[in-house]
Amino acid sequence: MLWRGFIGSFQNTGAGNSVPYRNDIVPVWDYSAGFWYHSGYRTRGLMQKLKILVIEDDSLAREVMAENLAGHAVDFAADKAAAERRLKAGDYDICFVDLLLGVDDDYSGLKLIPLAAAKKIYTVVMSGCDTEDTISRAYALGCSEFYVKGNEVANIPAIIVRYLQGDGGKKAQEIFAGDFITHDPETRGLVTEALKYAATSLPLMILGPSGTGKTTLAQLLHDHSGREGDFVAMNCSAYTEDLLEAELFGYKRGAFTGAHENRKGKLAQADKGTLFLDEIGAMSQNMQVKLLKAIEEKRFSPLGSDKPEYSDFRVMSATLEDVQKLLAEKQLRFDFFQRVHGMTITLKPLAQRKCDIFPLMQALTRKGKRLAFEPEAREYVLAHNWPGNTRELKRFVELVSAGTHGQVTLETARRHITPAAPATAATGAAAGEYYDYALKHGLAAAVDRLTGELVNRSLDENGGKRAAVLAQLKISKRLLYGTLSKTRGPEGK
Amino acid sequence: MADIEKIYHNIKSKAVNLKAAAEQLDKYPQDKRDKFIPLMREAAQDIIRLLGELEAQPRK
Repeated sequence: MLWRGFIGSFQNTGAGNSVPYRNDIVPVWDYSAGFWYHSGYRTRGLMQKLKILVIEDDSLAREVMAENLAGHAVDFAADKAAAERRLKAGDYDICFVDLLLGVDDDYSGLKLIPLAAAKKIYTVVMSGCDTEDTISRAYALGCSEFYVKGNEVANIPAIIVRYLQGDGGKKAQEIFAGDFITHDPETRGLVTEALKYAATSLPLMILGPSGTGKTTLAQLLHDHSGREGDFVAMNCSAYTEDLLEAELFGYKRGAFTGAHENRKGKLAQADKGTLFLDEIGAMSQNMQVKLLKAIEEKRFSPLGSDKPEYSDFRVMSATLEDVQKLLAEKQLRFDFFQRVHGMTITLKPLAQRKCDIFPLMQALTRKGKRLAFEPEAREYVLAHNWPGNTRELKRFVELVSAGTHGQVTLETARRHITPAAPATAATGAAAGEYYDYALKHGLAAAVDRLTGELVNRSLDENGGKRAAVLAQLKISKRLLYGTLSKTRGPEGK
Repeated sequence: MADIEKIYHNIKSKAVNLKAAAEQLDKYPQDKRDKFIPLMREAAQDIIRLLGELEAQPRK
């Protein structure tokens, strides 16, 4: 039997057990199995057992705390002297402190806060006294959180989740050295902030140019979400509308020509997990309406089936386009945007976080040939703006690794980095040609002509792969097909 | 802190502890309930004592 002594509403699954609505994630102690797990879903990595000290003079309050902290290693101290002994001897993760320890005590709990804080213990005051002066003093002395007694059932699980997510900065250090490499303080701040929302069911939208790590961040957030299902990613720009629908919702045998067998869609695959929709701006309005409904109701029907299926997926999305522009141009429906944007994180391009270039290269060569850059080569690499971001960096590392013994000279770096084209006589001549064209046909026609040339060139260079053109030129599907229609006629679309 | 403030604080503290225990009591197995009830009674008696002390304070 599960004890669910925390706030939150429940829905009946119809299978004889109830699960909480996913409006909050809190740790729950499973008496029968003897471990903690996040409410709603059992985590892949079960919640760790923490060492906790409760400093509390009231015997009833100690018992209440013991119940709320079941599953953790909990020590108790009923007075200041005992608390000091415990704090000096023990290695605690969290310390709950009452302020008045005894009938005639003079706030000795406050005096224990600096001792706990000095030992880097996450110190939480739980007191019946909540005057502004007391709260200010407690925070000034180093307490991490301050609570008024009386709602421990809800507050304690939330405190533990926050502690585990923050983990005193240790977890963040590991993340920034491994799963999401960045030394940029602003990016670290953004990722740390996003991690606070990882264990919720809120949707997340990640913005940023191609190659800035949007998918990596989405995967990281999923890994820290406590959701037991899979991380299912799909690039919306790589599919036509029909294919995207089949890919998302799945289909039944015979639903359309070529549907030889039943196929599970991405929504079903992401059950209890995360559905990551990359290049969400490339999705048609029609598709957005269908997906909106599925997100709202967590229910959908595969193609060729009128029987609804259920999937408890969390949505994360990404785009390299300007969301406000997509909304203004009605490429993105506002109601759909409302369902998917939740918390928004914007990742900076590598050009604005050059401190990450060499740490990323180190990581990319971790399992292969290590590279040593001569000072001039290092300067050259840092001077480059890396418009392709980590993808360009990865290609550069692969090229350099394959072509050198590991020592990178300026010449090698120059050979493998394509600098941004400077304004040359040739480009000047081209600009002159477009100027003349614009004078004759109007600016819009000149822009159309240039767009057509660039799109067709990119299409040729990518062997006709439209998804690659969308990603490379960072354009919308609408612009691509509109341009192809104009330059190649309707059949060229 | 003045004595009267401590009395108020202790009443509040005892009362919230009592409330927290009362709210969870029905979820506990019988052996745990048996352990909690005497502690709750003790807290209730403390509250009565503290209220007595409050009444005994000089009137403003």
